[in-house]
Amino acid sequence: MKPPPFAYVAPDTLEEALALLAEHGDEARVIAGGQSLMPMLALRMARPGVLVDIGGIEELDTWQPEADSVVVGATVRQRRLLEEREFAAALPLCAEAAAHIGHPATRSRGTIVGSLCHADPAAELPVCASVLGAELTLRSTNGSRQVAMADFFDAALATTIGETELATALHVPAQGPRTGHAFLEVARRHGDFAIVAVACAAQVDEAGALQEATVSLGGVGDAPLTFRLSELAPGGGPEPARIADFAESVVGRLDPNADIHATAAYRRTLAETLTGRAVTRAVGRARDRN
Amino acid sequence: MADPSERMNVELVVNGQAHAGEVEVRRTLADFLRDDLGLTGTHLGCEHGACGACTVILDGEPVRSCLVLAVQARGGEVRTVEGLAEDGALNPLQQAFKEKHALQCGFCTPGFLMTAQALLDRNPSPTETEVREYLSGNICRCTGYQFIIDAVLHAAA
Repeated sequence: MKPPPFAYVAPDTLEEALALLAEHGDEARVIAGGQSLMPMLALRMARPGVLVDIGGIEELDTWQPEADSVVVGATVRQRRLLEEREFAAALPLCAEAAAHIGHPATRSRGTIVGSLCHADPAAELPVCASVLGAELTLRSTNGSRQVAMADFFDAALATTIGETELATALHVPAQGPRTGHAFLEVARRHGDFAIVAVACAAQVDEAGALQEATVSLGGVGDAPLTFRLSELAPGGGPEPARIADFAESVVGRLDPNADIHATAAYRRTLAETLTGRAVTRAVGRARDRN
Repeated sequence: MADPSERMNVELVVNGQAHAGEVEVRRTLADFLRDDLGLTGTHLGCEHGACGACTVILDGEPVRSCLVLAVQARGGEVRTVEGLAEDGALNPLQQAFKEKHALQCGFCTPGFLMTAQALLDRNPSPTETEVREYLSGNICRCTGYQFIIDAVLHAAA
């Protein structure tokens, strides 16, 4: 189908964009890459009165490393995680996930922050942002606030962003020198949304012993679900057994849906297997860095 | 700053030629190419980004023209399947598709050609795995894909 009628405006500056959102309220939708919004318009699942295109706002199109974080502007394209070595090195977990996000022709337009704002429960970047402890900057004409991922994702395809707010940047905190990451996903076809996706950040101590592992899972709930080894499998003991216990405990906390892609039981199996593999791989990488 | 409007002028370059038109802002780039410019080589399959039949090259990048508004392509450079032939002759990629039987009904073919061309533009010697991954966003109902992959590898060699 074709998109329904709407008015379109492409502000040159952030201030203009915020003023437009303040003026038009819930009649306005922001478009950047359009890879999530355009399908919704084509299927007429969204009928905004005004489309505010932020693609021309230069200050949003950059990323930069800062003292204790990496800051990614709202319109930075997903393809840059695969094409720019420095960017991939700054965000290795997101770069590993990027190969699973859609296809080259969608990554050429789709944005990192846009994927987070779309909040599909089976998307890869929300899972990564959750496990990395990232925050989004949300701005409006009333001011600015930072929101952690856990407070940003509300339900499937819904976030706590305000009607007149614009997500302007993603802040990913520095992960520490003894941290390793891993991203794993099972999908029916390469590039599909995940049936289950797992991202892991693991830390080892100076002796290389497993200290902490955080996993975020996608595809098993309305939003990414995050669990910590220190909370679910606090004991010592041989590492493989501890990781297996952790994976089993994670699954015990899940209540995944069944749909045409997978049964709940299969999602549980995937969650347990992928959690175990992701933690093992992330720990190995943490050790390799030292 | 301009106010929101429902119609806008679009100027862009397609296959090396400048074009312009006044369109509803909800017009997709795909429909602009097909209906306003008469370049019907770009096909519409699913119109929601999943099938890849509408793929064109915009400012050097493969894009789903059904997911780009014509107004978002203002000032840009577009290459469509009509622009692949060189001096009236099939380019090496098109020739390879012909030789390797990489099309049957041909509906998906423009999308595959533009995606494959984008791949070869940035990676002149891809491995088979790289070809498969890069083309994984394009759906074909006829061929079973193997001959398409053979054609791209043949064109790259």
